[in-house]
Amino acid sequence: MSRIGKRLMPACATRCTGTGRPHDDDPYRPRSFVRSCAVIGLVLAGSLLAGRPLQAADLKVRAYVDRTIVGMNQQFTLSVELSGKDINEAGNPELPELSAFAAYLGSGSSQNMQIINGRMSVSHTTNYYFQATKEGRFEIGAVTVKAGGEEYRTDPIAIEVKKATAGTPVSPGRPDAPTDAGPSAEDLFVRALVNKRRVFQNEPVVITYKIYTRINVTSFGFTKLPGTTGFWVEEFDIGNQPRTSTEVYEGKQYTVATIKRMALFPMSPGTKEIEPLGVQCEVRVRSSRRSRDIFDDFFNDSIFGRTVRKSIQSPSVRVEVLPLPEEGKPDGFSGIVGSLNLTGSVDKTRVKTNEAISYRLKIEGRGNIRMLPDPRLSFPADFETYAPKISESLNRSGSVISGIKTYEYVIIPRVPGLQKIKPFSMPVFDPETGIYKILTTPEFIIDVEKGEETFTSVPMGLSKEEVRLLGRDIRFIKTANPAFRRRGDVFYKHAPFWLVILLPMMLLTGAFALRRHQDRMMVDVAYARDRRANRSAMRRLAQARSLMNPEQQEAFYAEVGRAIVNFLGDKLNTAGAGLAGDDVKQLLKNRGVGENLIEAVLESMRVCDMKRFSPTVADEAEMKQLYEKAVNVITRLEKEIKRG
Amino acid sequence: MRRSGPGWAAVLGVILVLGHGPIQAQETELERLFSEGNVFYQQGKYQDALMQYRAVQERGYESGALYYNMGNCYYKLRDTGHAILYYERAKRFLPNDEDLNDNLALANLEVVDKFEVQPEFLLIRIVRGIMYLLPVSVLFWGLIVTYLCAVGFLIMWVISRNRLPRTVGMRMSIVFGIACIVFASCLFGQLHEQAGVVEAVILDEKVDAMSAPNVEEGIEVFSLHRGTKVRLDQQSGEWVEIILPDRKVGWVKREVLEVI
Repeated sequence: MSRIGKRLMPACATRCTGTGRPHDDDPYRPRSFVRSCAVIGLVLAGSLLAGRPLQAADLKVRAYVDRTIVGMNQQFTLSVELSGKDINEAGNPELPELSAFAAYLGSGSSQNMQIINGRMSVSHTTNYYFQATKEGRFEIGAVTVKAGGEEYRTDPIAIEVKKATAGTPVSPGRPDAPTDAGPSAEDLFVRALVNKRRVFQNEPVVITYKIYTRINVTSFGFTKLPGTTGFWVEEFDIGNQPRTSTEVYEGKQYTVATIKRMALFPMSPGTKEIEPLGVQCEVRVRSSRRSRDIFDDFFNDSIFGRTVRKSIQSPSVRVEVLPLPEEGKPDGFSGIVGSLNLTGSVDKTRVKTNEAISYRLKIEGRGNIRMLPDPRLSFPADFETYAPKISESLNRSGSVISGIKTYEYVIIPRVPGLQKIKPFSMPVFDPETGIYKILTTPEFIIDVEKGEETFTSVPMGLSKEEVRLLGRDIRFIKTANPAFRRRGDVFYKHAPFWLVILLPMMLLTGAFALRRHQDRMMVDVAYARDRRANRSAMRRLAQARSLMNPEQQEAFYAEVGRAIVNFLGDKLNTAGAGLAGDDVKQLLKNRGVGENLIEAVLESMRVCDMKRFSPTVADEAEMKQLYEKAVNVITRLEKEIKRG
Repeated sequence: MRRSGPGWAAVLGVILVLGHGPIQAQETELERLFSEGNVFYQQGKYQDALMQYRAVQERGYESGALYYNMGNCYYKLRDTGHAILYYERAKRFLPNDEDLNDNLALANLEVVDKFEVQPEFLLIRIVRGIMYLLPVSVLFWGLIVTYLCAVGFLIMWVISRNRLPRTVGMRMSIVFGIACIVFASCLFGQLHEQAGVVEAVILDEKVDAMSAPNVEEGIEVFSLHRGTKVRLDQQSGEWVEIILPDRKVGWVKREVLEVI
């Protein structure tokens, strides 16, 4: 296996590994945390570690600790590493319950990317920091990770918490050296000096331990490290050989050496106690039995002075941790405390599509740099983005912890145009001034030009059907029968359309009416006579008209009379021949015919009867008058007679 | 049935008038422009072809073939946004045209935005498939013919006194009646969808959709690119609310898109 990148890992990490698959919930961190940070350690995982990384489909999960033997109150790191092609599908690792012997301090993550033989591999490590809180042998249970429905579990890891082993004594001293006798507490003691006793949550307390001595201390070692439960600890570099100075304390002059300095970041508000630091010193003491002999003195004191071991303890220190003020707390404040600066930068603002841009976000200043939550940057959707490369450096010298954390994002524009990278803002509480600040990066405008190959390049995520179409030309235009239509012209806005729809409907209704009429004519005699009355009367009158001359006087009057009588018979559905004057009057009255008309009818009938048999020759004008009167009467009757 | 003679004549006359919608004189002019455009296209002068086609459009006329050809010109000129716009317009006239569907799919390849669209309910898919099987013009004539046949046979059933014509009349009028209802549903379904759903195509290279019709107030919710088809909802000043296929909603300026 060719190793291109190598991850530095504590040597003992090799012992404790397990394998598994991703899981959904991380009890300790917000969800997006893991995803946004990723780690690398890839290939060498197998070669470096004796553990067996289990090859599962396309995802490997390992868990390891940085040491298997931990001193009481010391920190240890549990790392969960995901690697393989499918790490993006993996959920957040789910940690086993460790509260029985360890307190959770925080987490951080990193990612690594490697290209081996043209294949890119990514791994993603999350470090969880714990502090051992109980002595004994324990087991860190399986870490579970869920990926695509499957669940991966790592092997459990055995861990032992011992009494503070801390720094080994600088020199162990002679084993036979007496430990009882020694200098008084006034001559040798340890002070714990704190820069502040009231701090805000996440604001560091710098605690400095100093040995005060008026006697000769040849060496010292820690027997018990201060209990710092509930704090995140960053140690300062003191150097191997503590520098000494002289100091007057309570009226006496002492030789003073700073032996330990720590920055403690309180994780929660409340009153906290920093438990004492235990120190064992080897002290040269003059013989208590003073001899008057010069030689004795000489040997005892100057050269052969006895070495005594002396155990001393610092006092414990109480610190009051204040919660962060509610007043002025900005929206989206995620608990970052420190005097920090934020800068953002891009390496270029004019690029072609598919050309990588590096966006750097730098956070520097005083504060808990290592525990900064990863920023949630949003890049325009047209950029392909990768998880950031995170680097941090801490300055542990001096009396404050400061440092720089850089997030480097590789972003690749896929679409041409002016693209805006929005300002990123990060609300921060500055404990030095006691106010909230919002750190903001500037907005960047990237001018993306169309790269050469974009038009023909295979866009990502094409379906099979789409791939089939690639590289083909469009089909030819249509040349025949364009069938133009007025724009906005809809057929239902035209009257002819409605005509076409309504006319047949009217015809249909007509057909129904016609059919009904025909049926009635066949069945209903009264109806049939009534409907036929006018027509037959008119036929008779037409006949009468042809007889209109004095020679055919009789026939004419007979025909007109029949026309009227038969019409009345048909209309009233009775036998026409038997109709006499009074009957007619009564019947017509019943049918709602007016007096005038009835009178006219009777008059016409009377004239007909009279003239028919009259010997006097009627003149043509008289006949014509009667004829017209009869037509008039029948037409009016047709209108006025109501249906029986 | 003395009235039926002139009645049928009127119907036939109306049909003839409808069939020859545009005025004859105009039609020859339009066809000349259209075929000139086609010649330019064949010569590879897409810009000139487009001019001719546009001239037809400016005279107030449209057709599926015209829009399809215009889409082709824009595609050849590498203006994907307009190409898709015109193909989508053509689609309203030619819902099932193979050439059109193929070209539209090709043009859509160059659209950056892809959406995960929930597949429609099977029944709805089938109904829509049937609805868009035939273009509006065919459906229209189908509707007219089946309607006239249905009514005609019904009249025959009403008037006739003989058994055979009555049975035939009744059965045929039922058959044509059902066909007529199907045609009418498809026709008005298509028209209703086109009238009720206002769709537009993004023509700008890149558009940022805001959460509100105001640059200061709204925040950027998503960005869209040339050629993406969106649905329009409400309008506020120069802003329109758009709905994406995946149901995301945002506001963009009116000028970045054009209604199909």
